[in-house]
Amino acid sequence: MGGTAELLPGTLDLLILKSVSLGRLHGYGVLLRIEQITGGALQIQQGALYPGLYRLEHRGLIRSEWGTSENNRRAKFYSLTAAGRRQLGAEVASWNRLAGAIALALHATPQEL
Amino acid sequence: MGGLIARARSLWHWLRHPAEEAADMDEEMRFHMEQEAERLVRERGLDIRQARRQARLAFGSMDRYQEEGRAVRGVLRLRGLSLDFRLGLRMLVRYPGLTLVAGVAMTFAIAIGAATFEFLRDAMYPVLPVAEGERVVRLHQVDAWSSTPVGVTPAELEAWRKGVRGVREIGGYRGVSRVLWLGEGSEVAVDGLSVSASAFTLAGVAPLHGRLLLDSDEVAGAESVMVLSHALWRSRLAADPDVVGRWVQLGGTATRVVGVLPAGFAFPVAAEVYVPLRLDELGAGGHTATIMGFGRLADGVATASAQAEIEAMSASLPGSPNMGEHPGAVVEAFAYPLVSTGQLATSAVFALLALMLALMMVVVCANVALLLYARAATREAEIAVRSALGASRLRIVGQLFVEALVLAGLAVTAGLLLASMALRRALALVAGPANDSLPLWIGDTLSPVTILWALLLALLGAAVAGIAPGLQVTRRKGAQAGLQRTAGRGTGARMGHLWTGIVVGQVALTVAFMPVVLLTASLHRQLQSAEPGVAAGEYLVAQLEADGDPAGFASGWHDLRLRLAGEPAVRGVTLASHRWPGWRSDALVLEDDLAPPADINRRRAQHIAVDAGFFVAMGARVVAGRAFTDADAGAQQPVIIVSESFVREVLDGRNAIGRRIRIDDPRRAGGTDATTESGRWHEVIGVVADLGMNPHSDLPHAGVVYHALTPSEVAQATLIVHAPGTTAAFGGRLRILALQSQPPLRLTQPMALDRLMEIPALEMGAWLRVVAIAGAIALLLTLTGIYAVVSFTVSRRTREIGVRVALGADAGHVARAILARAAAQVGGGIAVGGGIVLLLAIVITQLVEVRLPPPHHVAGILGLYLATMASVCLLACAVPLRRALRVQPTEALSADA
Repeated sequence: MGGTAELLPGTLDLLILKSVSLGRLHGYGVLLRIEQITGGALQIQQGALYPGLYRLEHRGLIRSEWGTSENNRRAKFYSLTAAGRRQLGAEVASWNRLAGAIALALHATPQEL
Repeated sequence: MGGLIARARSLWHWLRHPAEEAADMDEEMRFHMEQEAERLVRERGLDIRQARRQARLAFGSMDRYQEEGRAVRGVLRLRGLSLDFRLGLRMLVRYPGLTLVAGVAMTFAIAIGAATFEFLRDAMYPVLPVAEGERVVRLHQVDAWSSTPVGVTPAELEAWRKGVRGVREIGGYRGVSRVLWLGEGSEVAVDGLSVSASAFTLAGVAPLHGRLLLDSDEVAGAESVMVLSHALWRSRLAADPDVVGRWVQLGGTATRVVGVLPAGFAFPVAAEVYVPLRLDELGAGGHTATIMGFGRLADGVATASAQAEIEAMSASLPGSPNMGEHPGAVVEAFAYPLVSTGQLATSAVFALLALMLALMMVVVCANVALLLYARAATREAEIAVRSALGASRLRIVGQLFVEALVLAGLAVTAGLLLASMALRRALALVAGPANDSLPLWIGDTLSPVTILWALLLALLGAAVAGIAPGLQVTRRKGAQAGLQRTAGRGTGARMGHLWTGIVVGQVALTVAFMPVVLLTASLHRQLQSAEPGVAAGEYLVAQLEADGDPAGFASGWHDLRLRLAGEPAVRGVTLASHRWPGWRSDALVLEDDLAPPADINRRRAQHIAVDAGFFVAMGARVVAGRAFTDADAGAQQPVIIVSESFVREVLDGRNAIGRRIRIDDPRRAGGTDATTESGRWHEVIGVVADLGMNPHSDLPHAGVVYHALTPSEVAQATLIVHAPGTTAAFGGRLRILALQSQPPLRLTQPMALDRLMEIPALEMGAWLRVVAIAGAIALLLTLTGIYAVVSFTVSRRTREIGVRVALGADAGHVARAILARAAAQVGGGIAVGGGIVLLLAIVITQLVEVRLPPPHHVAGILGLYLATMASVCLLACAVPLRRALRVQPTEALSADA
């Protein structure tokens, strides 16, 4: 496994939203984009991506439409909705607060106490 | 909210195209794996078969992810729900007895709840069934002392129409009856309405044929025109569309038919023909007849400000001679509440009544819950297996709730149909054959709000009947415990205190309710067998009133009496103040017996005023003294005639003739007023045989006091015609004769006396049906409840019974052991119910004078009744008991728990 890490619960939806926010993608494209933007550091069961996509679509955060892929095959493409954009903004802010707090806690030294 | 819509849309899409969506998921996932395989070929140089295998492995189970995809969209939950509904339907078919009993009980509770709710809404929150009906108002004057509406004069209405800004489309109406002559031998008396054209614009009605009345028709000297009601057009003119433009004679005037109204039109009141209200002619003729006004509040104007404006205007006008000394203009909603809540807020009273209806549903459904619990307990094994397979408690309770909901769904459908039918029949009964005694906002169709209310009742019923047993049957139970019971090692579910309470309560309720049914049945029988004392079929009874000036009644009556004397079929004719002698709250004082008896009820009588010909016309024999003569009416010294039963009941059989009697009004403090009727001494001049013609009276032989009727002092009275051998059609002839009198009289609601006397029995019969059905359902629920309890006990104790039988226990011993619990519950219920009956009997005898048999007889009757009820209840145990006694030891050992 080397440099890969387990995905934290609840973070897959955030990663999908982020990936789709960078451009219209089909499901496999979302997987590649996550690998690309995380430097391949996260390990995702490929199929688990789809319940996540359906959940976000069901909540109205992303929308889907059938189109043609780069190798000329029929594929379903996902894009972000306005509600999804708002949700992504809120989740990023929340994540940053949490990450900052954890980082602070982990860098604490006896002298700072 | 947006998220909710998106979710609903997504689920809806799935439900509409499930196959298409499944195919899409499949294609999307296959595309993913193909892309991954191509990457592996490209980047790692794998051959395509190997690459595909690796791609499949990396993807994971396609079925699992597709199932999760369905789950996130709520499809699975919906599928579970639909399964529960199907299971619920299957349960209804599988347990037909339970379905029938529970379904009938719930249907009845919903029907009563919906019909009562509909009537209460119409009666307490009346809205006129026209566009913006809540802004339509009545305009009239009231006598400030008596609060009696006295209408408005033509001059006032004209002034209001011209000057009032807060109320638009002001118009007026007054009833006019006329003879309509449609051709040789075809004349009919019709109830007409003289009405302003604005009534039609205000009601927003379009004519079925021709046109409606116009403002130009109201100008004095304009052509005489009329519009026909749909009912008259159909019954008298065979629904001829060419009637428009035809000339007919209406009240001796050539009148042109200009239009026909659509069916059901009845604004401002129902009438057979509508003619223009000509204020100029009414005012010019020196008529004192008053008119009722109506209009629509202008936009943004409140009733109070419209009232202030009209009051201010009325103050500057000369008063009407009819208005008494203290007239006051009134603007009020056209539709008035039929039920007055006095000082209490209408909404509070309405909420309380609605709560009582809901409570009735809860009580009925608590009984249904008992039956469903007993059934759920027999399905314990199934429930335990489901728990073991991972179904949550919520899921299992939800399933039982859905099963009850299916039952409630059927009950609400049947209940609404029943409510609609019952409401229609009840209102038809109250409205009478003329169908004109109910205001037009009391409708006989169920409104959407009532349907919603019925659905809420059904939901409440399902919650009570489904959730309570569900919670009980899943209580104290992990999957392990359930499985143990399934394996036959546990003791199983038990009938806890809740269910014991319900059984005791329902037995008590049934025991207490049955006397109400019996009492109603006895009153009904009494009414059916009421003897009028005369050959009722030979008499015709109708209401008679002055058509125009109320002061003209006496002359009109004099003329009508002469006309009737010329009719060969008529043997006698008379007038009375009312249809029946009525009770007054006043007690009677005898001049020579000033110390009144302790029991004030011994000094009460029914009163009626009759004219001189009454006793002859009714064939009542004068037993002592003399009958009235014309000179007695309005005489200085008032005289009365009493019935034989009066002599017996009030005078204890003493001589009545010459005795002086005063009617004492207990509401007047400080003695009686010598100038009013209440305080005057009346001399008894005669005694007549009992007529017994008061079916309303609960004491059929109570004494009657006859007063002398003075026609010049009344504006309306009851006409009684003795015409043997005539049919109901003679009523039409009577109406024509009354209208031809000078001045004309209006005759309404003509009816044969025997038919009239049937009405109270019919009303009581309808009430008896409701009470009897309620009683039968209560008894049915009780018996099935007890049956369920005993069946439950037997099924729980099959093993124990088998062992006892195997060990040689005798049948009596086993039966006693099983019946002990049911007998205790029935005994408890009988004791409580008997107590309630006794308490009610004591309260009733305190309030009403009832002659009861001696106490030991009462105790005997009550004891016999309670013993009968106890036997009936215990009979319900017979079938399950028989089953228990036939249990074979081998069966018992293989039985569950």
